[in-house]
Amino acid sequence: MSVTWRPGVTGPWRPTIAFVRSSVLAIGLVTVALLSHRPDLLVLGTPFAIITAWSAATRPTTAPTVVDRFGNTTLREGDATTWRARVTDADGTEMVGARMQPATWIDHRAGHGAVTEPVVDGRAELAVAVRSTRWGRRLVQPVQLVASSSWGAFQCSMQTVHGSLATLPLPAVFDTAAPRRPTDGLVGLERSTRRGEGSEFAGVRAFAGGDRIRRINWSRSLRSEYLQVNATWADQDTHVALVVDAGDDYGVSEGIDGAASSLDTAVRAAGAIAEHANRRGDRISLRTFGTIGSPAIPAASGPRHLRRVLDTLSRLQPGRSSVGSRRGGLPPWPASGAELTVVLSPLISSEALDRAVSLGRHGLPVVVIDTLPESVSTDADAVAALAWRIRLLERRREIRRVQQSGIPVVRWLGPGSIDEFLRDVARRASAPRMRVG
Amino acid sequence: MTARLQRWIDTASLVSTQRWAFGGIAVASIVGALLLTLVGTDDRFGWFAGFTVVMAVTAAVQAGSHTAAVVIGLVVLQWMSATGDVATPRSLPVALCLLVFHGLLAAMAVTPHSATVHPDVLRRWLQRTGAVAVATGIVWLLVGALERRDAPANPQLTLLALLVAGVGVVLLLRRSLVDADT
Repeated sequence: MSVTWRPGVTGPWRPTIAFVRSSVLAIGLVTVALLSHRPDLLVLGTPFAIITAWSAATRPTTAPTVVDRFGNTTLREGDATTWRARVTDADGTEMVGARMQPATWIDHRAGHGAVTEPVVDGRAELAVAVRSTRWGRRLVQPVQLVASSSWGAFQCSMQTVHGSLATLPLPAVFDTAAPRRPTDGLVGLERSTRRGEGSEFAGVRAFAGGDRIRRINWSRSLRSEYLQVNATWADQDTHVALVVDAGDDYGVSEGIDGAASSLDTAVRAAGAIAEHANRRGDRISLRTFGTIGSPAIPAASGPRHLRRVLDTLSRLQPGRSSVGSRRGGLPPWPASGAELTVVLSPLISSEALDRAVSLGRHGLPVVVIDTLPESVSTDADAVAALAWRIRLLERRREIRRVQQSGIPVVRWLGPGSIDEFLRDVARRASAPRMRVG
Repeated sequence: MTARLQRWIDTASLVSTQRWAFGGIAVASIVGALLLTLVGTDDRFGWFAGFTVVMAVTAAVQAGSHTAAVVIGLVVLQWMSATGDVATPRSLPVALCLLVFHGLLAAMAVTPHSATVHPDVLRRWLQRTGAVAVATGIVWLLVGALERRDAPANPQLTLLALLVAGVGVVLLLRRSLVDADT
């Protein structure tokens, strides 16, 4: 992905306090030395006189130009990219320094975002490693650059423009060993048009992360530099509907390296399930509720669609209105037609459970993934802590009632989190059915 | 107050090791200059010298302020009051201490607090400082030689030289400021 250089703004050259100091001291000391006949003061003033003359003689005359860019504007959580600034037309300039403003969820690697580079032949290139530690859109403040002449006598301020980094969620590790139910997407004698898990041979390709070991084509791999696998046409066409409750964000988020909030878990789990389903050639749809605009993506498959899902997940922002009120709302039956509906919610608001129960009553297989962190009520206020305790007790009762109505509610534990549910779905799908009416 | 203290601590924690070293050397150079002014005199490192060191520390913390000029002025005052021998060789090391102090603070003023100055830039600064030190040594030798010959002063020529130098500096500053505004 090519990222273009963006021009910045350059100010004029200005004398620094160091230049004023050396000038004043040179004049003052030499004057006093001559007037009071103190040649020792002339010696003391000599360095300042030379520095002043040297600085004036090497004073830059042209304003440098600056352009900057990020190596990548789209990252995964925990990934780093490099911010680069290129200063040109900097004749007479000795050094360029830059400092990136500290920002939430962004780590700077070189000296906390500060760096200096010498100017050689009127050019300098500065680089700062930038690491995004949480999914979402990161606004990078303009970077201040200062070019200085010899002896730090003159300086010129430059400023870049705002930058933006899109950080896609790093999907949690997820896999499932449970059998999938036969779906309406089965094409019988006709194979699917997509590649994925299946039985019909589609070709040989290089091994990629997520490929089954049993798919490795050993004879072909021996003749190749890399492992080769047999690719197959997908013969399952499950529509996996992801429904994310983004109404509120509970718990503390410490980025990819620390504790995860409820929305962190929901976004990463949704990403993991989407990646897993995409690898299998399944179709994925995404619905969100509780957030502004409630973005939704219709069912489709393929790497480009997966990227679209992850991009939408990275844009999620928790809604601002109170729990239980109208916060954007779930569109009517978003998961209709889906063979598998996964609702991800902290379940503090009963809205997600109500929706899940409604879907379940229509005979659709639904699983609710509880994303509430283990320790969420750390409020020092005794009344607030009591309120939390009461709400959590109510929540436990609501979850129990939903489970009794046949909707599984599971905690997100990574691989195998929904295996039990999938086996149950497969069992139910293979059971004899009775047509009504 | 607490917030300001916290901000100050946060800022201090970001300061690079190199900058701490620069600040330490700058303060040490002022202490060295003050001690050199006292060599061979009956004076001790008194409250005036202590105040000067405190000001030097302040200047090192706020490298982009005028405090450094005040510190150098105080050292010169101490020198003038303590030293009667105008041809003393101690003037050379004191001048070099002031050069180091000025150079370090000038470098710190144009460098971000948490940044480390590139080794190439450091080498250039050291080369330049060495050149100025050599030139100062030559001036000291000339001054010593002239002092020993006891050559008579020429007030008219001195005044003319001063005027030329002063007008030159004023013109340069004015030009710089005009360019800066445009």
